[in-house]
Amino acid sequence: MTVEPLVLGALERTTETDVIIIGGGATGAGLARDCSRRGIKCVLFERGDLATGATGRNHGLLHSGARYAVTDRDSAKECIEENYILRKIARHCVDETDGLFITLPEDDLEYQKNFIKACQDAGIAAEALEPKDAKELEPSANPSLIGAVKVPDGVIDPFRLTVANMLDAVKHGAKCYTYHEVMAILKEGARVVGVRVLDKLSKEEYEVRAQVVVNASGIWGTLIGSLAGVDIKMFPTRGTLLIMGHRINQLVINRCRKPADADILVPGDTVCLIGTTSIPIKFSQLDTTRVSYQEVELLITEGAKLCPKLTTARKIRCYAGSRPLVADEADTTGRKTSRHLVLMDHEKRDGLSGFITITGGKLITYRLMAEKATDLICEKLKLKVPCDTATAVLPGSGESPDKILRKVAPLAPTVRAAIVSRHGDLAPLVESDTPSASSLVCECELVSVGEIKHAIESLAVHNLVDLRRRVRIGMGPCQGELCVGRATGLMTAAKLCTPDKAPGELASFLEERWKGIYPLNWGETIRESEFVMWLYQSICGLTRADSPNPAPPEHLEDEAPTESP
Amino acid sequence: MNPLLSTNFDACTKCTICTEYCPVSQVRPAFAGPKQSGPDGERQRLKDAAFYSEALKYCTNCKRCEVACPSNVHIGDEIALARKKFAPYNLSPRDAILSHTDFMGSMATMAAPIVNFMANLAPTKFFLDKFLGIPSWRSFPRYANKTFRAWFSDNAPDQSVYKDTVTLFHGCFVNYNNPSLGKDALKLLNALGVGVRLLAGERCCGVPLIASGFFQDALDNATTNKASIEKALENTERIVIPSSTCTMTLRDEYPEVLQIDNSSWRDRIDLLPRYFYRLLEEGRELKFKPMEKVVAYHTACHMEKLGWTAYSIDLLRLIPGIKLILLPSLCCGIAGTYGFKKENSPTAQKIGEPLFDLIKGSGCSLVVSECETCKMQIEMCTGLPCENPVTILADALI
Amino acid sequence: MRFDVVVMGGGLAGYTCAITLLDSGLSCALMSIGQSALHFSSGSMDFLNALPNGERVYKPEAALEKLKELAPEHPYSLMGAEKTKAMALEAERLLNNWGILVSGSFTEGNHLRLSPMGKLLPTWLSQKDVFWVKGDEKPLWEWKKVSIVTVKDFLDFSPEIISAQLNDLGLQTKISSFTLPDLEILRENPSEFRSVNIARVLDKKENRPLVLAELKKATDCDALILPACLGLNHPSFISELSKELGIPVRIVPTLAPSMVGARINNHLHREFLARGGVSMPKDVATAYTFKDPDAETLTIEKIFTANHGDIPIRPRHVILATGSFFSKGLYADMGKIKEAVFELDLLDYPDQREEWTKYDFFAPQPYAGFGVKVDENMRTFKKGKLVTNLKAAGLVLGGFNPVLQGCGAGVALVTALVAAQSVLAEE
Repeated sequence: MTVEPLVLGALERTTETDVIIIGGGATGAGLARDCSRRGIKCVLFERGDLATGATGRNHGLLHSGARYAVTDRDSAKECIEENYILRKIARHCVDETDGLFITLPEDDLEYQKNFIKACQDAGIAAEALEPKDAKELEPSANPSLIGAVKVPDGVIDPFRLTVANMLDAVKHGAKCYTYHEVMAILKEGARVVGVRVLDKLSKEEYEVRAQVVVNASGIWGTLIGSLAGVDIKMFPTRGTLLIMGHRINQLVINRCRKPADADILVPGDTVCLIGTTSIPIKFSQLDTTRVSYQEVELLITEGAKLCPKLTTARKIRCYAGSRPLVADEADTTGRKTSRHLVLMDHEKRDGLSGFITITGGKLITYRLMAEKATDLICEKLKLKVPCDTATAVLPGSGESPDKILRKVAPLAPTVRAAIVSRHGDLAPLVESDTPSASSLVCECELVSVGEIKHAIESLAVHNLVDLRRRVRIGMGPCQGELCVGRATGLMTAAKLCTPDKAPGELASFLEERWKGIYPLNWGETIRESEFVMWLYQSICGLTRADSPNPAPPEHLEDEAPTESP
Repeated sequence: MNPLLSTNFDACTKCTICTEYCPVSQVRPAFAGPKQSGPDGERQRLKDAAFYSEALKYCTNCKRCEVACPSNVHIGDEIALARKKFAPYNLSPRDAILSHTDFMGSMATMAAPIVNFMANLAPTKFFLDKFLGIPSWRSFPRYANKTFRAWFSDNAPDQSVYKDTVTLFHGCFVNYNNPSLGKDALKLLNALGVGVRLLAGERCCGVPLIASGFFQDALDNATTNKASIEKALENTERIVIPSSTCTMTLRDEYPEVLQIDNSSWRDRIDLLPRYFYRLLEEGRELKFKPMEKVVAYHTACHMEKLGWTAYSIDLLRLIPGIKLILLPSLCCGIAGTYGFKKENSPTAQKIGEPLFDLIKGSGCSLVVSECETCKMQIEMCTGLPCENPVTILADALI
Repeated sequence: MRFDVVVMGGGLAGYTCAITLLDSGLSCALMSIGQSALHFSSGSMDFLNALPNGERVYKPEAALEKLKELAPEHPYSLMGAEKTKAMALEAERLLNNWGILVSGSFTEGNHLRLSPMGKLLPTWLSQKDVFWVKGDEKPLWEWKKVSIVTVKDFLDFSPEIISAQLNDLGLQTKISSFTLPDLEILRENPSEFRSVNIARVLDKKENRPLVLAELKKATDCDALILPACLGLNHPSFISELSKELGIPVRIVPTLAPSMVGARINNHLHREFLARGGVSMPKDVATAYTFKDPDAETLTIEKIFTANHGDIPIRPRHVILATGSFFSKGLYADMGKIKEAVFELDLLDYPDQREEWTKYDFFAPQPYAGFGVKVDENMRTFKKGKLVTNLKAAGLVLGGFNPVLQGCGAGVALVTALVAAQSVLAEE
């Protein structure tokens, strides 16, 4: 079987289609996939790169649902069903690690009984382990644990998942436009008829018409809603996570108690992440929110209770995302939020036809959200096509890694293993049969020249930061130290940026990385930071003047109470 | 806690300095280099064992990467530990012969004249080359007619006359191939007023076994040695060793690679020159006759790791008339048994070339090194004699 | 172990101090925790490129007074303009004496070097074969057209980017690349096709004619520019190529590892050994004692190290040239910054960790200026008491930002020489 090449980013503009999807997160990409597989013409507009909102800024946890079993059985059921679907359709994005819910001496062991019962009621296989067995299974877990329950948690790579969905959508006729920001919702009377978008790369605006416009922009949904003149009440809260330099734990470690701050440690690819916090922020801070020094300290202190090694392990990055928490419309006080997926038919809700909002939910329920929204779109377009996204496997997940390995033959076995782990059965598309193509650009994450060329040519990469999301370049302990310099050269050679813009590209990447590093200014991290500063500012001579979008002047962010726009 | 023993691969800043100091990756493309094989590889292997690369076996365990690393990453240890964890069991008869020095040594010394004669005959060399993968052009160390231990028990002067005693860990090379080095050690120690005991039940330190992937055998040897050492230390203050590699192994490889706890006696293991230094500091004396020679000091890889060159240099400078040249520290390529394996041999020779050029250009008539395999390699490749500082000091003793 | 001097730290400052003291007849050991930051340096040495207010400096000599006003704790300010100048001239003389041949001079002022990103940056001294050009704001080209010749598919050097920047500065460029059979063997290693390894291949005697033949194809220009991946073990290689080709050949530093930086390190190491210096690689102090801890001033008596265990080093003088955070001279935990060996007094720094770094990557990062407090003779203090036999030099010192002020190498050399002088003055 030969693998058919796909090009993710659309090259030509579309002016008319059936459905416009706003937002390139997992939900948007899932929607594009579902619509296109049901034969509906659709285009997706994303103001930045794919998976830049909450999709790419969470734990990457393939929830078993256990976390919600006690408090919210419906959510728990949704999670476990989607969990098993994703294991089948997205296996190259999933790491089937299993998870532990541990009880510490200061926790109530009674909670564990309720927890196991609640899991069983929701259909989640939960197995109580003796402390000794739990420690053997996960040696990094806090050795003072007094109880543990094993559940089918796992890990999912949100970037890989979003790209795989989008690739499938493109394969079935959808069009994907990144760096396209919706500036206006076009209306004719009480009907939405399309959008005006700004192509941020060419700086041109144009209109695109469609029968249905879907707002799938997560927490930004409120802002898109206001463009259409509808009020969607959401509560942006910042959730902060901290990444360690290597994979300390092999199983997800949760705390067996009521969900709280910093109580999940997830092994993700070569690293592990502890999170999260929950801090209400203003809408005006959505794009500028910063991790606070106190949050970092809290994550370490609380995280060390799950896994004591966190205290000494190298911290490489912190980042924050905003959960798309939607007001519970049944609640009259306006303060309650829903953890469920929320599908709004604005025709019924606000008397505005041709406009749908899909929001709320979680990464793991993205497919279900897309299915529900596409069902509604079908209803509006008077189509009767069943959804097949729960059974059709995603591009990359078709074959087992063993089989794929035999089709890829780079010179070094480790480079080959890395390509297969990231691209699944699309790995043969990555050039790897010459020493030059197998040459490593990012040594931490084993990213080769061939893989970078593949991403640049086929995976809608416009800059170094996009490249990071596609192939993990710069995601290792050094956070893009020498590899970015090399990748800048390759991007220039591939004409993705002109040579005179190359220093600016590099400067932007370094600024972006630094946002997640500057609060971690001690230990090994400050050593690494000093090295990067010497390398790029002193030896290479990059300055603020090279940056196309230099950082705003220093300001202290006020921690505001929840505020609706 | 020793701060140099207190960190791990997590501290790697990806600065690439180690890659400049790896003697192997420069000449052998299949070896991905210390950074990739060590800290970078470890992160991948923690994710999935599929990221273990067989090419890790090309590492010579020279530890130069560790010495160079500004972040204290135990790169060489990481590589050895990964091999221990993931490498398939080594079944090669050649590797078994080369690494089981005790077994081979005791067999060979029983019939040393025949073995030495045979080992250098063309048909033997042909056999070694073709069937065992030991290159025919390589000269083999000669086996002694009588082991050092046998000589010690039969012929050594009475050691009970000395008030102070020390335990000598002679090592395989002294025992089977070069007993005269052991005799030199004895001569110097006695001159300093110290009597010598041997370690009851000494086994090979295990370094060739680790290098060839016989981790269980290495562990067995280490366990036996640990027991013997702990017993010996009940009666003597210190264990002294002529070889830098045995010393490094007992001090650092035991805890780091074999997970043998040596914390109670690690600091009581001395390389001989370091022990001599202690005795001289106490006020004891050694008198040397002049030696009008240009002598080049070569820092063996494991000497570099121990960081103890200062003692040898200090002692050699006590010999009147000696002109000591300090060579920049470079690997000779032999790396114990590594260079004896046919597949490694060209690599070993290429690694050593810059060092051989320096030695030949230095104008020296004698090279000095604490390492026995450096001695073999340097003598074969430069034609100059290479001796342990203990031998040179003993020769100069009045 | 007894030495007149123990130098801690094997970078530019440590070696400079050690070699100077060996030349004065003192016995000297040099201890280092690992190899130094010289291994990725640019191959040029900066003295002072900008003042703390961002103002560009063309003639460091003329800017020292203003620097004193703006940064009174800067090592140059502490020792004063006259001494700074004298030490700068001495450093120039010594480097050339030791065989590290450099162009540029303190009295003439800064020239321009070419960075791996194609930027022309001010600097004080450049190794003879490294690309540099006279000029302050604008380069004074002697050439119209240059040929950039790189090694095929070498990732740590981008001829396109350098070419675009040079074109902007009025120089015509042409790009080409070459490979050799030996390089193709090295290339099979996916991670080790890097400058220093390439240099080891190209420097080989048998490859030199092949390199020459390849370069000949690109000589239809005024000068040749190559990435710095030849001339490591054979430093005159580049000048020999120049002679053979009949046009100037210059090398440009690459991303790390930097061959031009490693070359300086190797050279200093050899000079140190040649003078009988004792190298103690991979060692670190674990404990130390003062002769009389209760006296008005402190004097280090013994230093215990990781490798030497119970045998102390008894130095008469100690030089602390352990570098900053990267080199582990300074250590930061979540609440404090420490000088790693003796916990010496540091220049004041903010208590709040929030104030150690800035959100803007390109803003002056406060931590870059943290470091040990010294007097004009590089003498150090602990809890306010003078440590009589401990001098500090190089990046472990505070009061300057080596990156934004472009003064790292200058400070290292000058403070090392002052520290050596103070030791000799006490002898």
